[in-house]
Amino acid sequence: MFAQEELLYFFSQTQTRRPAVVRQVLANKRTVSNLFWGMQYQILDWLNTQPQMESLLFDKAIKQLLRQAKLEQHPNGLLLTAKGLSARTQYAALHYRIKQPQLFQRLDEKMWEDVLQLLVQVTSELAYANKHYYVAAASDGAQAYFKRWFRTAKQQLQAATLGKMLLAFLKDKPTREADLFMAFFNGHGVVAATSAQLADKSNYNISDIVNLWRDYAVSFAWFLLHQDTYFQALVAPLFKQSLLSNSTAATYAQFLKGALPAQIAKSRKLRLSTINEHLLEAAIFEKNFAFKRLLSATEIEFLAGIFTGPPSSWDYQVIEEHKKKIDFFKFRLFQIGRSKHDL
Amino acid sequence: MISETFLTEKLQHFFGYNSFKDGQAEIMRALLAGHSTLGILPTGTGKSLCYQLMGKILKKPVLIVSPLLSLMQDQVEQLRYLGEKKAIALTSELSYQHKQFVLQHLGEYDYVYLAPEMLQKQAVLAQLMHISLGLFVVDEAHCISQWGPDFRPDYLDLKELRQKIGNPLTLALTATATSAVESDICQQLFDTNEVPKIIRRSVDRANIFLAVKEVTSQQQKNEYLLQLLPQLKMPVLIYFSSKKKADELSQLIRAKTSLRTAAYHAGLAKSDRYSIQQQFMQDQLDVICATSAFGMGINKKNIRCILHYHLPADLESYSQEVGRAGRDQQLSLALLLFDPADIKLQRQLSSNTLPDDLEIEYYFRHKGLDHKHSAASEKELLLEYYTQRAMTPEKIRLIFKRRRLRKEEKLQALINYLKSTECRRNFLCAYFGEKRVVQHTVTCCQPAGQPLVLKRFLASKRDQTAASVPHDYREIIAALFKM
Ligand SMILES: [Zn+2]
Repeated sequence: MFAQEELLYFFSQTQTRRPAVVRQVLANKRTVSNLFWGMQYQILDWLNTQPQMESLLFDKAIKQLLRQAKLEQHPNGLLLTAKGLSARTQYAALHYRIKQPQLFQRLDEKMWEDVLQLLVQVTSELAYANKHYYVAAASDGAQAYFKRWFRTAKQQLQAATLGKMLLAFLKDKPTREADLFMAFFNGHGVVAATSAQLADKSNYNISDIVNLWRDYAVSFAWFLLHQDTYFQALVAPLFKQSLLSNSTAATYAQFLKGALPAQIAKSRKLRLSTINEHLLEAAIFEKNFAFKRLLSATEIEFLAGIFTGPPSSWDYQVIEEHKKKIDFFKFRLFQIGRSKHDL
Repeated sequence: MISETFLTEKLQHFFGYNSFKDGQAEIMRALLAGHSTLGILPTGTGKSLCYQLMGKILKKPVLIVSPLLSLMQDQVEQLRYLGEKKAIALTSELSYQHKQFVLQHLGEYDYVYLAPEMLQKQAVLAQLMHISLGLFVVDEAHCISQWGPDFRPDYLDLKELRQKIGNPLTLALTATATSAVESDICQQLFDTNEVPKIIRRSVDRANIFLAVKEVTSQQQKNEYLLQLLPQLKMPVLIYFSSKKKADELSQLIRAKTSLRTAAYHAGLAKSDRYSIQQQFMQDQLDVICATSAFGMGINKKNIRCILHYHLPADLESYSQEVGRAGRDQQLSLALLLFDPADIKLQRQLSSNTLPDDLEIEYYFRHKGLDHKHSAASEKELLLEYYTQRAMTPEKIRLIFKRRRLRKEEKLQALINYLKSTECRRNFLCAYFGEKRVVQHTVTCCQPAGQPLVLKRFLASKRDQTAASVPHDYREIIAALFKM
């Protein structure tokens, strides 16, 4: 869970934002509406950075921030106040903030964190040719996954290679952060510190320590993914090929082959409205989405004529006042295209 | 008759020890002679080794029924540590596929741990009927007794389940049992025509000095603790009845002394729990502030002092917790800090786990409990168990009334122990129905009203030569990978 002040990062002084959207983006609740508004708030990079977030705690923190006048209530959502901005600046100076949030939506984070602990411990014990040790706490799934990789990698695995990878990864990082990251590993004759102990020793709190470790762990996975070693085969399967959910990816694959929404609906035996949702999700995440296959030149011309200003402020009702038949799907698609400057 | 030499050879071969602890060999001889057995051995006497070695000798699967998930996982880890790969805990934490796989290959495992509710599952039972079990083990067997403090209703079904798999050779194990609990275990687990062997070893531990320090306030308790702690021989384990207090005092000790300390309880992340256990095992911690969640799988031999910051639940838990001290047979201290106000707290804690009349009524009217209150789900499980067995609300009310009464009696016995002006060790022996009588001396224990002399437990000079732990990331990497 993020600290209360950390939530201030997700609010703006000029754009009203709904806290429910923020919460659901952080927790990776992927409805098209959440994704769309997350895009408007420019917080989609933070998707899935807090998968375990409890909504009760989140709501409590927001209430507290409102009471402290760091946020204020407006009809369409919350605004960051001047007091909130200064609290955020003060907080930022003292605390750790995740630097690579966009990796959390690409990687099976929980699995990787367990696998990384196993990798370091098993390799370390291997370096000392020790077979008798208690394996660090890891889920059964992570142990099984790791064992499969280890069986094939064992022959060539050199402890020093992993050491060199870690040194190369940490070389350009702030030393203080690198120290904290490495203090979290168990190995031969090396016992990890707990987050509370590290918080005690540094000027960080427990939540900072946890965020730092998660951030460094996923960044290290990304680093290994781009190094030509046998560790690549360990991390690659844990990365998602695409940012789309599975069903959306299947729909989008057909769309790329030239199928139209109605045809996709028929072949996938899904409702047209579901296919449209998939396409909106794809429009949000995919580069070079073919908006013009779904919106005609006249539709675009008409929509561009009546809507100006920031897309988040547009109101679908206006179309109905013009007595023109353009459904909500096309309206939202146009909104997304304009937000991405693709239309 | 199986000779001691045969067993010792096996022990040496499989586990690398040269001799048995008291009671172990006798249990194994009884089992090898075909007698189901109830073993009552105090904590730290290696109860699990009995069935582990039996599995090796019989070369047949051993099934272990155990009440706690964490306990099972610790045991499996320990077996794996000993190089035993075919051990598994069949729990709800396994993925569906993994569970199916284990079920289909159940007979190929040497040691299978499971909770009683898992044993009730038809799929599990069906598999077990096809397997020739070497040994059926009921761990923490006192859970079967309504007279015991940790009664678990699902343990009551074990007799029937055991019949269904053909009454296999059985070993029931517990650390503590009064004579009432002992006969209850035999009755609830075995058929009337079976006469299990009972092998009991005393709870009395000659190397542990039992003492109670009475204080008049929380404030005074903290002051006393902070003043005493830095003088004591390390390591020290302090028991608390709440996570919050364990955290608080751990912080206080860190702030006011130079001792290395950590809090340990179920609220911590798994990885943190692992690290703390490892740090403690490697003497990187002096003091652990723990709830009763600590210690299950820990086998640290040189704990010099067990402190109780709060009252334990009863004398059964007390003697188990105290039994973690001095497993190396060296002199150790068990000191309980007693503020009479704690009695009320403990009374609340123990009645909190049982539903009261209002809650029973609420449950029957709404088919569930109000989850605003803590412990609601635990109570709900209890109520569910009894209603599934078609018991009326009146009957259930009576059951819980009786159990509340029982808990109150247990608490009273604990208070009597605290206030006892006679030898505390004799008090415990008598409580557990043992005939042993200890010759009391000033070095044996400190009865209430007697001065508390702790000189023998103080460190002459604090050993500050603790191995330095590397902090620089390059040093850590070099140490990890031998670079
Ligand atoms: Zn005595």
